Amino acid sequence: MDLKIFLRKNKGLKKHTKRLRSPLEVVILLILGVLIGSFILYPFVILVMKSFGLSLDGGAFSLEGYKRIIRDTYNYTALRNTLYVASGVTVLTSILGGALGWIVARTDYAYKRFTKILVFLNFIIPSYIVAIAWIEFFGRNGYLSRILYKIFGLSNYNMRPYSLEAVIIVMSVHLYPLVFMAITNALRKTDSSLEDAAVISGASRLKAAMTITLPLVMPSFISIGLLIFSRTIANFGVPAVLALPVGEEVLTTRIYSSLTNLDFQLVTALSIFLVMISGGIFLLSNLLLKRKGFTMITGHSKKPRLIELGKHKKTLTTCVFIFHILTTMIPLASVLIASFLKRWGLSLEIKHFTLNNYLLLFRHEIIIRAFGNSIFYGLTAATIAACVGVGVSYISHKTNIKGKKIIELIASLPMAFPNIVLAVAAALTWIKQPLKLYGTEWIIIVTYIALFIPISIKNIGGLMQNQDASLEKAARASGASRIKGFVDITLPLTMPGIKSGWILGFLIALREIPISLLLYSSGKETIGVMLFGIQSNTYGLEMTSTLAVVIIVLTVIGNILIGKIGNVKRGGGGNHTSTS
Amino acid sequence: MSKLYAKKSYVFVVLILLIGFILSACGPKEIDKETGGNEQGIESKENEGGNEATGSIQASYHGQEGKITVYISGPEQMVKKLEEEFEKTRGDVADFLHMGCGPLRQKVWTEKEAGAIQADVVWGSDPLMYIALAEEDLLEEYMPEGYDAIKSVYQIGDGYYTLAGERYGVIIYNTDRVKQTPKAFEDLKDKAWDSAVIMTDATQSSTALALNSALYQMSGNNFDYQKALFDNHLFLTKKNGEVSSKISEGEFDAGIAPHDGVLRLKKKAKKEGYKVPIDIAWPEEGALAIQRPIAVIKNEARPEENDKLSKEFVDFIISEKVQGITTQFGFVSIRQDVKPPAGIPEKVKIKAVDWHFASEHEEDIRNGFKNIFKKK
Repeated sequence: MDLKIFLRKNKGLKKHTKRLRSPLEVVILLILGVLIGSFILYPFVILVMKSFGLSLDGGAFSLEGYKRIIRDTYNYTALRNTLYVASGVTVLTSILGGALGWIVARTDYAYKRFTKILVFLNFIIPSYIVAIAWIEFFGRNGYLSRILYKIFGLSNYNMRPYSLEAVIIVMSVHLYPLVFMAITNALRKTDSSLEDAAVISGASRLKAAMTITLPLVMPSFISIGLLIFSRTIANFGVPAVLALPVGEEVLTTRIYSSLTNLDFQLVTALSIFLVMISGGIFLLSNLLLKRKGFTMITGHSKKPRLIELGKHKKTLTTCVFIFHILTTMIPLASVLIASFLKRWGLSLEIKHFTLNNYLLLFRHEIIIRAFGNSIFYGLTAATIAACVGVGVSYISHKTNIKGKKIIELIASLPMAFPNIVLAVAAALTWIKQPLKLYGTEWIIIVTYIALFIPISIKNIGGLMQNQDASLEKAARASGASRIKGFVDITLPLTMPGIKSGWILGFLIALREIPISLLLYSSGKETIGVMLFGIQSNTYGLEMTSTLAVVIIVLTVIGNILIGKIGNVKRGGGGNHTSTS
Repeated sequence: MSKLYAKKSYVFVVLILLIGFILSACGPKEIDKETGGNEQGIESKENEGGNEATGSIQASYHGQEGKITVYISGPEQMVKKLEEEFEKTRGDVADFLHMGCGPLRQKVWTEKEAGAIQADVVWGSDPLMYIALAEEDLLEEYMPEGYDAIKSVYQIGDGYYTLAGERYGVIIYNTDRVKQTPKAFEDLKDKAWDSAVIMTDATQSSTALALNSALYQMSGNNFDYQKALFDNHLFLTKKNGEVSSKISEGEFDAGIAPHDGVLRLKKKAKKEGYKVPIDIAWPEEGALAIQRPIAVIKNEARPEENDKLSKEFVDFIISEKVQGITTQFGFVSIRQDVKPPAGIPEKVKIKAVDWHFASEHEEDIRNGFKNIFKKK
């Protein structure tokens, strides 16, 4: 059957299979079809069907779910909040990332390396952990209130750290590095002599920057802005911890709470709605990227002349440092200090500090199991996704199979899906016989596979595209089969992409919350589940913080490993936070 | 040559089809439907029979013989201890799935929808769920051994479920921050408590839903009390355990939650050598009694041995020894011969809640709660 879909999706392949040289290739093609068909297409179809009231056992077609989206005013609020938060984050990250990017790329600011390291650190800290740090710092009994009390004797600190604005700030701290990276890249590529010409002709520096450089980097701003927008829309952890408790819902948390109330048709309709928004953004950004019309990027990279800051240098440097302290140092310090407290909320005295949290973490049966599970699920899924990714990229870049673009499109489908929607689709798809994965670890692994396939295609596809076709042709000409040519030539050249794909799988499994939260069963907990849920009666924020510190350390190690493997080109400054 | 090859590849195509089947057995029907089913496939016919298995409720057994599945909610350490105790006497005969009361209910309901509840025994603090399950005839009738030792007020459930403990919805407050101890639930309506009170979200926790039903009844079957709390910017958390945690951490001054969390926090702090600034205020209106029932899920296909084990587990939970253990974790025992936990005053006013009424109005109460607390 999956062969049939496969064939149907690729009209002409039937003819083509006859021309293939070896049965092994047919086998590979078919396995690929089966994997993509059952892990991506099938859950997607089920999700769409369910939203119309249809299911495996029939059911009558109805638009009830969609009607309820329109009828129920909670959904309007959730949508309005979602758009408010996403716009806020897009604007704030553009300002922060853009300004910092400009300072690093165009001025003689002295500590560029330091800034880049800190920005990168920000980039890899999971957003949920930033949110925890936010609560620890701004909470009613947080560090800020204690500092104010200690220094100024203020005891009526009453700031509420929970709000949509808090979500905007926390998400911005987490996402501004994306803008920073995109803008420094774009600025480096635009010719600074254009700006100089304007200045020589009498324009002020500011005017030159505003009228020449800004329009030139505008396309980068727009495309990265769209990415930020869709990432924010898809995020679940941050609004769940910072907005949901005060009754403010966004679409992802709305899906989550409707699921708690087992309102399946509304859940699926909302999911489809969310996918349509993020899919629309995805298409829009692809469209914009294709029309590169007015990017005056010269290509030959001349070292730009740096603007001398002169007397403003000190002020600006101080500002940048304060910014780093606020966005990187304070969150890290908050989490680190809390992880050594006997109990979050105790005063910061020596007698209240302990190493016990860490000891407990490594003795805690469920947490140890969760680490094992996450790593196992991540690596297993990454391995399978890498195989599929290699296959799809190969078909896409090295063969002339008709409909190859469709295969790639279907395989890339999950990219437009927020994680929580992937989880909903998986829950609906795998809950019943005959292929009942619900209640086993495979439901999480299979969903991770769907999540990883587009990432692996992006990683591997780029490498394959850049390989000279003559290499494999030479092998073929010397008598090697297509398979042998692939194994001996293309595969080794693609290996860095595959390896980094594995580590990315490991990294995503370390931070991913909504998929495992919705799909785990007892004994199948993941780190994300523990991070989200360990706070209870027995443990306070100190245990969450301890877990967070361990996750950050592992993430840094993983990223260093990816850096070591090197020469992997990642578009848009890295994909590995596509789940956060 | 090419003929030979064609034959070979045909064999492979068949082989792959088979692999395809094994990999995603349920694909065809679904997908044929999507495309309008205009391409008649042999596979879809072959698969038609595959969907019948899920037809009737509890027609098949989920587990293996000699091992039962228990869904259980409660503090982690207590569950661990009970598991050890049960396995010490009976061997490794039970799988414990430990989760919060909200997820537990969600799991039971999802599985019911899907055709079969995958548990033999369910134990959580959610009286409403048991009433609903009993009404749908999904619980097995069983009078546990030792039923006579249960106090008469706790002898409810008509043999479909058994009470295995009780907790009290009370006011919890931070002793460092609160100068004037609240005396009644009513007190928390005062503006002085603005932004300082915490409770669990009734749409996320079933104990909280039960608690809200109780507050609803206390207020004379209306939402006036919750509305006043909303005006005071009540904070909603995911789990009941977090209420006492967050109050002890100083993030909130007071809250409404089951009492047992406070007793456990104090115990832990004492053991580890620090102080938690938290205490219980026993409300004048009476502490809201929330039941923790246990029940065996009805399943005709369950092997006899497992049936016996399930019932033994229920006996075990209401035995004097285990009731003593739950008391150490702050729960109130249902037995006449087990003393209440330390920390509960001798004379304490308890307000009984009409759970059947709450069950009948469950949807209204949940919606009412949502209407107040979720912003439109």
